[in-house]
Amino acid sequence: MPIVLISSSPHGSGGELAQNLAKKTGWPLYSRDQVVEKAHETGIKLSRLETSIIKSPVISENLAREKNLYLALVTKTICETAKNGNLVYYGRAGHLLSPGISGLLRVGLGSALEMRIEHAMKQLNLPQEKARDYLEKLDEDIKKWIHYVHREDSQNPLVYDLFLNLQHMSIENATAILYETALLQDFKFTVESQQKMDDKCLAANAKIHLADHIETSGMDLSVRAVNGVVTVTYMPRQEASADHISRALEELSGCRETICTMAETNILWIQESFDPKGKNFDQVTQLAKRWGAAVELLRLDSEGKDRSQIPVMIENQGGSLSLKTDTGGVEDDDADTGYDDKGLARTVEKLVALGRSAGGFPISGAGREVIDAVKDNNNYSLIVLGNLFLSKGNETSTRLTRELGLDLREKLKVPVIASGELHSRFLFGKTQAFKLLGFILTTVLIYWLVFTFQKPILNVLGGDLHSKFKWAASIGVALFVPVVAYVYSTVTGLVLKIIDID
Amino acid sequence: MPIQILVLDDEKIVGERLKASLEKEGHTLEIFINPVAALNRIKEKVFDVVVTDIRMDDVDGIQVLEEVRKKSQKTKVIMITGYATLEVARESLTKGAFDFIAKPFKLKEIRGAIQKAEDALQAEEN
Repeated sequence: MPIVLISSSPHGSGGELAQNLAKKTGWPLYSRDQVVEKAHETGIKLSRLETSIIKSPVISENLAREKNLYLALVTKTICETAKNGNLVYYGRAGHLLSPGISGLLRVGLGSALEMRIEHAMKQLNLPQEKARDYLEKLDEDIKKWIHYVHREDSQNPLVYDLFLNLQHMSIENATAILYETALLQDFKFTVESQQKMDDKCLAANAKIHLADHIETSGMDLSVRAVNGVVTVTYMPRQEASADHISRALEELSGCRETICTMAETNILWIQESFDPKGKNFDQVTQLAKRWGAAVELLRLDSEGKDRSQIPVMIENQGGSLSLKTDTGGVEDDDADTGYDDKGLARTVEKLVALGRSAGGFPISGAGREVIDAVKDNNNYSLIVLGNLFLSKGNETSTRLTRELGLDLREKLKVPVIASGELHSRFLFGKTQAFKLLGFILTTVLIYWLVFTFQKPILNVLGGDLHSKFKWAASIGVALFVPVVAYVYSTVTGLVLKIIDID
Repeated sequence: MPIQILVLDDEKIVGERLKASLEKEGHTLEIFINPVAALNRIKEKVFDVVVTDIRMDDVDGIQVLEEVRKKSQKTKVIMITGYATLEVARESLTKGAFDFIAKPFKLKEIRGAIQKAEDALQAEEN
């Protein structure tokens, strides 16, 4: 069952090679252009995703949902087209589709720039210099696309099974090489890889079904499939909509069972202003990834400017895939409230892109208001307090933050930590590595001393010295045991942190 | 500064919505749903800005862009499409499009692009 995925550069010879191979073998041929067409028919806003690469990398993060749907659609299309066992696919980043499945032949092609320029000149009616400029810029755009959509470096040779340089090789010979390679035992599907492919297809299909269902289209869901069982994980605040998930997947073909489960772990992060590019963001998301947790944001306005605002949960901007609207794609502007959300929406969007968002909302007030806002949804495993009460001056701000922390810990029975302590408490960096090394050496030294000098130690504990100075043994033990306990527990704590057990 | 804008999109609603929004800004608009009729008008008159869809029957937006460039180097062409790819966007920009907007878009995006075109026209005049 050969599935050949060819990555071709624009105006290279990928299309010609793929067509030749399909003609020679009779295997079905599918191109990226067909996927693009299908994406438009399905309602995925692929145009926005594509142009955001040229216009602004910042917009790209807002399009995380479109990116995930596009990848789901490509996976589904490849699986469905290859259901009879064979496929030749070609197009941009073709080699990066369906990662993690063995048995696929991933092919890269190198074509001379001069040849591509000549092709672009003819096809697009461009003078030579403009054609060169067009291709050079397009190659850069594609690099960015690969980085953003596939999280891969376009120069990485390890993502190819075969790379053909077409500068000195005819298309016929390249086709013959591809054909012979595709028939090798290494590129045959095993039962295991077939099952993986089926599961990937099922999960992709489920994602598209959920996005197309009006009630589930805006939900932050994580979908996976194992042996025909689809598991959909939703956020606790979406519990009321959980029934819709099963309903949206009722018609899903190939699905033996659907399991809907609520995310067990949530981190609540409270701050006055958020910055998705800040150090705190990296640390909180790092911890969320380790714990498999979702992060909920609470923007606290201690000065009460938000009092008139009704707290509104900011979530993934969904919208059903049925985009055939009567506006012709020209949408009304959002109401401009002039309201500064202090980075809340941008940070939620970044979390959505990372698949870690549990939403976010602003509130005004202090301890009591925070507790009132979160007590009904208290499934947090950690509360992180960042910059708060900023207008009150350093000392007052520290005191009020500490009081808020104590209040939250007492009322919600959840561990509370200041964002500044996150790294030292939960993450492992250079400082922790040096600390671990120092404490390991101290532990070894203590054990070496104890086992090397047993005679004098036993003398103090029960020998001649003990009979002379009975109080010395008690003081020695009282001081020594806590020191050993502290040193040893620090070492074990840091080791557990390395192996992700907090 | 009010400017002369030609809008070409084979979906009538697009022209109607852009007209309603951009005329409020004081601009003068001519709306076309037929690309051939729009090309004839472009041959007759130099517009400050041409807003054109890319994917249409008979004539595509790239051809419109090329016609505008033949007639006037000054006119700013803004491409709009729901079928954009990196390749098409890059081709449009290489061929002299001023901006490229993917559908669906908010009205403020097109107003922003028109404003930028207006600024560029003014800068060229000075």
